[in-house]
Amino acid sequence: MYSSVNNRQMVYIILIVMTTYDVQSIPYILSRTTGRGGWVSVILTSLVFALIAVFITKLNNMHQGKTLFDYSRDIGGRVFAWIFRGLYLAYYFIIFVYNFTQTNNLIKAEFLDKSPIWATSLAGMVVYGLIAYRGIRNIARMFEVIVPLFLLFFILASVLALSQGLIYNIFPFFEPHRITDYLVSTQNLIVPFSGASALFAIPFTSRNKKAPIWAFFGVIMVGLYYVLLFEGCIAVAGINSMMHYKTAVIEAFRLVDFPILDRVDVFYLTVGFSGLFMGISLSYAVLVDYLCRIFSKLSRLVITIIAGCVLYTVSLFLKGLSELNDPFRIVFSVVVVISSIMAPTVLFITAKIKSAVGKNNAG
Amino acid sequence: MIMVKKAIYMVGIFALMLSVSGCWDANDINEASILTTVLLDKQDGEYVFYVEVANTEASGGTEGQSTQAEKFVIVKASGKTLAEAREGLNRQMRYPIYLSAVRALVLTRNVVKEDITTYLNRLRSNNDYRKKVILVTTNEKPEELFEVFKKRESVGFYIEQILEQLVAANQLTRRTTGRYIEIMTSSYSSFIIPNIRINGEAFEIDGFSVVLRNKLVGFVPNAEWNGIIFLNAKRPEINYVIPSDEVEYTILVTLKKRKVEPYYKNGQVSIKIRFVFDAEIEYSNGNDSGRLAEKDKKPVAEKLKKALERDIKSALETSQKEMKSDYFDFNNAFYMKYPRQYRELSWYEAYPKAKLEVETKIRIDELEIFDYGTHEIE
Repeated sequence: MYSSVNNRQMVYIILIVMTTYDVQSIPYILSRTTGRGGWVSVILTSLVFALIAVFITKLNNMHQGKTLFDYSRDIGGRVFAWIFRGLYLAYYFIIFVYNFTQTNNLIKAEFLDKSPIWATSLAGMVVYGLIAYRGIRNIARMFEVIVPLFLLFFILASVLALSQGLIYNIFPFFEPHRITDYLVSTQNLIVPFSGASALFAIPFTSRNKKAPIWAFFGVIMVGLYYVLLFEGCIAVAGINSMMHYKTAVIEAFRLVDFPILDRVDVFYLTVGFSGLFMGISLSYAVLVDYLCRIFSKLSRLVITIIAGCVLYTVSLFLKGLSELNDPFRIVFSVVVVISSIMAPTVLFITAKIKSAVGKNNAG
Repeated sequence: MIMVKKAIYMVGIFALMLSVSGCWDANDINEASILTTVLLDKQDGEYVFYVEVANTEASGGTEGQSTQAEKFVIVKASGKTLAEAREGLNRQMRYPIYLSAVRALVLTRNVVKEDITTYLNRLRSNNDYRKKVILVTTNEKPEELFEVFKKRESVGFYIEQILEQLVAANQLTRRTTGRYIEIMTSSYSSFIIPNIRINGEAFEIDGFSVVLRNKLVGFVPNAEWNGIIFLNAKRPEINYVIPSDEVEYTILVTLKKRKVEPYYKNGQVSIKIRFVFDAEIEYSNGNDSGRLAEKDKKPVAEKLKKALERDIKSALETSQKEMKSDYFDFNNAFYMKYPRQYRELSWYEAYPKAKLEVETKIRIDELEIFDYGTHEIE
């Protein structure tokens, strides 16, 4: 089950994991914080995360055939390794719960309002479980089919939205006196850009030598894609409307006249959700991979089922107790910041220092 | 172990089968009250909903029978609040209400006079409505409006088709309810809504209701249609009849370019609107059919220029002096250029005092099938 991916599949993974749920709320987040100049924050954040993706891919290339689970011990020793294993286990767990609950809430709010969440999420959980059981390589193969469709649909819908929208809605494109807002707003984009850490769970081989370049441009591509989506949505729906809808993209697409289709948002149910489901499945699969390494005596099937039951219960529990949601968000933000920015940077610097020291000693 | 795997796959397939049926949201189309038109009125201080419901049972007979039968049923309900009126509707329906098929929302001017914020907010929060649904106003009595087609044709579909064909012919700007909601939530809220009236056994747009701060402030009749669409439609095409000596030329005028240039100096807002028109002689009542006599070229072009400027200035004057409402979205052009200043001033106060200047340029030509060369006038 443990297998590598090629560079193209890696870029698809970056794209889908980053855009899983938060792609819905990009126009909502930006219109509330930066207004029409939100693209500046997106580009700035994408540059930072492109660099992080380079760190991760370089680390993976330095330890070919291994994942973070294995090479964290080589870098910092046993205790260091367990800290990072625990951190990323928590990260993948939280990412899954976050995306899973948000997706179920989205399905209920926008499409199936009479269906109870326990039922829709159970149906979803079974599918995610089956995909996760098959492993990351199979998911990467599915990405090759789904991601181009997903991208094509979103880019086409965004271009149509831009062409059908009003130019007044997207200008002024840049307001110099709001530079501070643009900088501050980058913190709101950490979650939408945090997905590159999923690469820690994929062992690299010799065919991934150029992975850092692919990863860098992959993240930049995600940034440009967010910019296109944001501009398209505010052009067609207006910035005042976008700041009121948490699922702003669906609301904006409802206003787009699409060739053949009367309701683009219904098309979203198929193509848009397929990307969303793949992102959720990937975080489940990564989690199962980690647990398989920890509990090596248990079969993958048993781990998949137990993990599924725990994830399903926790997700329903967090949904049912709304007062827990705010503390959950704080924990979520802290874990995401540590595991998507701080940990890769610390690991990369430590590995580089160790490598340099090793070379000096050898010399 | 293989049996366990098979059992798990079976559970998975069963769960998927449950989900493809739409879960609890599955609904038979024959067991839904399909609304095609929604009209909201205010009578004696109460909100009154009139809804046109598709009579699905009438369409089930033979062809001859179905043309005789009423295809729509009108249901009325009132209440002190919108929610109460809606509950009244629910109590009269045989099946749950289905709103995604609504083609037109009609607001009587009685409703718009008071405030449309609540109604538009209600629409915004309701995902069942298409945000692309069109909105019109009327001064007609609701009962008479729904009797025009004797319930054999949908009023909402007809109104939507009128608007769509005018938009397709570049005679009107397409404004959906989503756009009205966007303007309503902006810091400056002013817009116009097409107004419909009964004309014999059909409907027509007889002008526009002007909404400022989400309340009706006036009505602009059809006479100002040309000026309005030159100011807010994309590429309108309108025929003008221009007399010159004994010949009358019918000229198709097409707006090629419109540029709004706002300026702000010493607290004074001024807006220059530049137009470039293509004018094409279609025909005349003279012997030469579509030929523009050389001696007539300059006077015809000048008369056309005057006629266009008169229409545009008249529309601007009504908007600025009479209605005090910027329903041409000049505020957006101003915000694009002066975002900081826009936030500091009140457009509600600035627009009526703004200096508006119109500049037109016409390129006059004969029909393309004639090879007559061009003449430009500034």
